Amino acid sequence: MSEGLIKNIKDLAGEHNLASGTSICAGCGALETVKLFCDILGKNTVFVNAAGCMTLLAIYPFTPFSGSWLYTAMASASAGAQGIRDALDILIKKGRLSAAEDLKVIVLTGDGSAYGMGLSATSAAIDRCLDFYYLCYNNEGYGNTGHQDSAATPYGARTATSSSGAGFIGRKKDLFSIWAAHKPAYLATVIAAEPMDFARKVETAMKIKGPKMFISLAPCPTGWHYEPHQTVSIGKLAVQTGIWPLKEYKDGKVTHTKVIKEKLPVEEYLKLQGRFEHLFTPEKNLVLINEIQSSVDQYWIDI
Amino acid sequence: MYRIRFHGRGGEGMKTASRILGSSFFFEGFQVQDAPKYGAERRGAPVSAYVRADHKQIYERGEIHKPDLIVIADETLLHVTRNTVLEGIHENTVIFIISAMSNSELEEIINSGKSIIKIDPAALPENYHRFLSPITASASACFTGKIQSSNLIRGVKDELKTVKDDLIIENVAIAEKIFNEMKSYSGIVTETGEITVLRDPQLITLPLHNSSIATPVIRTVSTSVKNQTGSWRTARPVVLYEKCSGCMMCNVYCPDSAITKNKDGFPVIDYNHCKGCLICCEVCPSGAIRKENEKIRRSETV
Ligand SMILES: Cc1ncc(C[n+]2csc(CCOP(=O)(O)OP(=O)(O)O)c2C)c(N)n1
Ligand code: SF4
Ligand code: SF4
Ligand code: SF4
Ligand SMILES: [Mg+2]
Repeated sequence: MSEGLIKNIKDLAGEHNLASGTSICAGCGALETVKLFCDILGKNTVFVNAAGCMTLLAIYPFTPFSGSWLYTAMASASAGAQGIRDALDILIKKGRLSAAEDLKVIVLTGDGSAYGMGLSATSAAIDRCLDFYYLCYNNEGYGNTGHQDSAATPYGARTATSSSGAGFIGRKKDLFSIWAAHKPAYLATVIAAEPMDFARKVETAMKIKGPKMFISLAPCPTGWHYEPHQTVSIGKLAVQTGIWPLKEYKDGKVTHTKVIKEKLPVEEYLKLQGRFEHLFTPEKNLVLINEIQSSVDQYWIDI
Repeated sequence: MYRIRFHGRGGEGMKTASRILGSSFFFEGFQVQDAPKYGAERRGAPVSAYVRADHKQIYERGEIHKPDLIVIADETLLHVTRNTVLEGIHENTVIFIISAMSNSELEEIINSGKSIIKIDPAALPENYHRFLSPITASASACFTGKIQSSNLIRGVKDELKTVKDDLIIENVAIAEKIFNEMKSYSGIVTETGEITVLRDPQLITLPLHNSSIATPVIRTVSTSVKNQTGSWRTARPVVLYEKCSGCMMCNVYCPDSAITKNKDGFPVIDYNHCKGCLICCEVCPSGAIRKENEKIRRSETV
């Protein structure tokens, strides 16, 4: 990792700020997200981590982090971040910590927490203009407990609690818009499969004080039922099919940071994942596939 | 009591195997315990599951330390967690393994003097990896000589009731096939009576601490490197330096920080930690990372 501005992908290569040896699944897209985030943000960090897969990162006495880490309940990570931010500010004010030693406070949660249980505490933290980062790795389900559906599960996906028929019948919650309605200092969707877009957004956020919110789509071989080596390919397809729009909110405006001119059919993305297998076998469910395709098309018409 | 221990890797279906076997025993009228051993381990990590079955109430709890049957679904475990896999072999322990190694090779590695029953993957369908649960459960059921095939099938169906019909049919078919093929071993696994407590627990009394020091706190960074997750690997990425351009895509996309950069700017894979996800192979624009079979290379490193 080079210090300073990230101009090309090589600037993200080399030594990493997140160490190896974690208990996370091989090929985990969420781990890839956290690793990239740590590399861009630097070492002076304290992660406030709500229960979920990523809490397995630090299992006593092991931690992969180069900085601090605190475990919280699923609903209260943003409240925990407030406490830490306040404590750091007080220490600096009293001269017990130099401003140079200040730490960046990052809430790290899954979608179960961000889209559901933790939404209220996060809403309040944005209201209070808390100076923090929020990184939601979105594996579109309650991964750690066996991939039950969450408010971020896409329509039609099979999960442990929507394991038959047409899959999940709910519609993925639009957390980006919900958070944007709070007018945070910065908000973006990202994905580790597009590291340069990711890096530019984190670097933009680093210059801003206040709530800096990130939602990262995190392909999950275990819950989405695909082979671990496909994590990056599936991530890229999520962007190229238009399923995962990359965008940012700043100064009251939403901008799409990667507009795909010739979007691939959603099928290309869906067919690689076991959670959508029922859309293709025993015979192709064109009604459902077309429904998913038209909701993606509609999104891009509406923006 | 029958004490049966399954060893595999996360994702290979050993928990399901133990449940199928447990249910089959249950339908046969046995009292049963079946459970996986849980840790924080994930897909690819060595895992185990166990089954106890008896006609009397079972009071024994916890892990099985003296198994009558050890099932090894993944032979690479013999290299990485050998002591755990072979723990507690006794006079009558039978070992069942799915392995392409020759009998003499296996006997040399296992070196227990016990009878080893082997199925060669070559004799199984090409996609047998997806069916390790019915394969190992049905073989185990057959070895006891106490489970009728009808109750085995009931066990398979019961455990898989949430999956697609055609998948159930495939699972049942392979369970029946293995059960029949293993017939000559029927009854080879026998029960062992009560096992007296091996050693008294050593109780230590901890002083009462106040909460500020009783909370687990890690005071050093990056300690996770002490975990050698290289043992999770079933496939190994190998850099072909003659093809490598040094673009470092592999280093950027490896989720596990298991690729470093040497002083000439080329990638070096840290096999002590690489979990074998093969993302690096897939993202390499020069086709400079080859996938190798871990079994062949295992003896050379780790
Ligand atoms: C209040 C509460 N309910 C349930 C749980 C059990 N639990 C632990 S992790 C988890 C899943 C969290 O899902 P998500 O936030 O999406 O993270 P992921 O596991 O997918 O990484 C659940 C339900 C909990 N820890 N706290
Ligand atoms: S279940 Fe999915 S998100 Fe959780 S650690 Fe495994 S791959 Fe990562
Ligand atoms: S296979 Fe490649 S990408 Fe996966 S952990 Fe090993 S080095 Fe990293
Ligand atoms: S991605 Fe391929 S070409 Fe690039 S550094 Fe890695 S091995 Fe070499
Ligand atoms: Mg989740």
